[in-house]
Amino acid sequence: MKAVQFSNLILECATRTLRNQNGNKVVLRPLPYEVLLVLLQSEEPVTRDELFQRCWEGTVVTDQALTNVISSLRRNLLSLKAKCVEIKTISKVGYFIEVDGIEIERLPDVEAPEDVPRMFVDSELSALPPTHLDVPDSRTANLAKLIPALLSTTLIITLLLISYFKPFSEKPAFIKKGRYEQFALGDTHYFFKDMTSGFVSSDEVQEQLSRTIPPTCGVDIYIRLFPSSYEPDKVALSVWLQQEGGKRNHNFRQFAVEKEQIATYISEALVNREVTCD
Amino acid sequence: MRLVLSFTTLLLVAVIVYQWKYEEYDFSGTRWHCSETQMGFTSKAYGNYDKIEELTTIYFPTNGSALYYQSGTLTHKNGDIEPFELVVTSKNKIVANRIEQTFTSVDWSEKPLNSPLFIRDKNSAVGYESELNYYIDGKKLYFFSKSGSEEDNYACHKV
Repeated sequence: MKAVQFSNLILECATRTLRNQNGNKVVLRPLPYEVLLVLLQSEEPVTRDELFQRCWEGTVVTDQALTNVISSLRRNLLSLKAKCVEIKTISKVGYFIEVDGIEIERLPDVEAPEDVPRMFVDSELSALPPTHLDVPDSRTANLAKLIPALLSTTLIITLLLISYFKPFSEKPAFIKKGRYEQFALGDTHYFFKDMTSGFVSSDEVQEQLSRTIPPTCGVDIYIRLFPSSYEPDKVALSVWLQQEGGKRNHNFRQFAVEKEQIATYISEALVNREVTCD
Repeated sequence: MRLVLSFTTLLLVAVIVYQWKYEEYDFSGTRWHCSETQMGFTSKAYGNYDKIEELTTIYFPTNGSALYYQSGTLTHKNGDIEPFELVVTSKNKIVANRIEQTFTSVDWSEKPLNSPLFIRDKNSAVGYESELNYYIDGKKLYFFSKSGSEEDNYACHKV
């Protein structure tokens, strides 16, 4: 059995199937199939009479029948995203298919339907002129099939990761490590954020802490300085202690802060029943 | 394949929207410990205290109610230490990542008799309504407000 390749389309004669490089296909009805083949065979415009003669075998039908067939073929080409293929109406003559290249290809045998038209046998199809083609090779076709499969797999994996890690749940800002200045003194990790207008610098805090807190504390210490909600001109402090690699935590609040005493407050925060230095 | 791809894409969008807007945690039957120390009081009422330590166990019998078992100590500046213990109840409504609470009762098991203002403040919780956001990360529970107010930032952990 033969197939006709033109532009990015393949017309499989045995099954009257017109398909594109993405695997999308349309099974043509017998008449549109015949009309398309006649147009592809001809290098010149085909008259309406000739089309009626060859495809309707002389049966008397209205002009509208051919117009409808041409319209349906144009729709098929459009739906298959045919490139550089156009069925042109030649005024007072008939129709002409403008196409980049046409080639006949031998395909694996497919069982033919009973209504395959007799008029287009292999020998006739062979008469079609071989030219250059835009049809992609089998590797491209395989790739075209592989891409949706890869996309689907990626989407499913993304779905599973989203369900597990819940990245779209609203996280409180105070637990986002990226919002803090981070430093470590020994095994103790500090996260520092000054929300005042420069009450104390991270370096000053580090300096105090290095003299006070044991470097083997093994606790994540989040320090936040902010303007007091109760007393204007005063600075308050929140410390959130998080057991490293564990679930236990402790909240500490100092409502009036003296900048030289920050390390003392952290020491006080570490005196609690939940999270202590190892 | 196109159908599978479209379906998976739709599912992905649905999961993201659900997680973002509608997903809520089932609190029923869970217990959480919240530990807090407060110091450096600036108000006259609390100026006598050096430190207030409080351990709260929040128990959710259902999603619609909670019991707060609170115990701790009040350390006065003169060195006196008063223990206290009370149970606060609340009616809750959980909508996505928000928890709306109305505190309904305060029952004292141990009153700090030298701290009438502290007792009064705790009792005044009855009828108080609060709306907070919550976030659960494994066995850790965080409370916070949309405005980012520092007073609302609070960390607890599952018992």
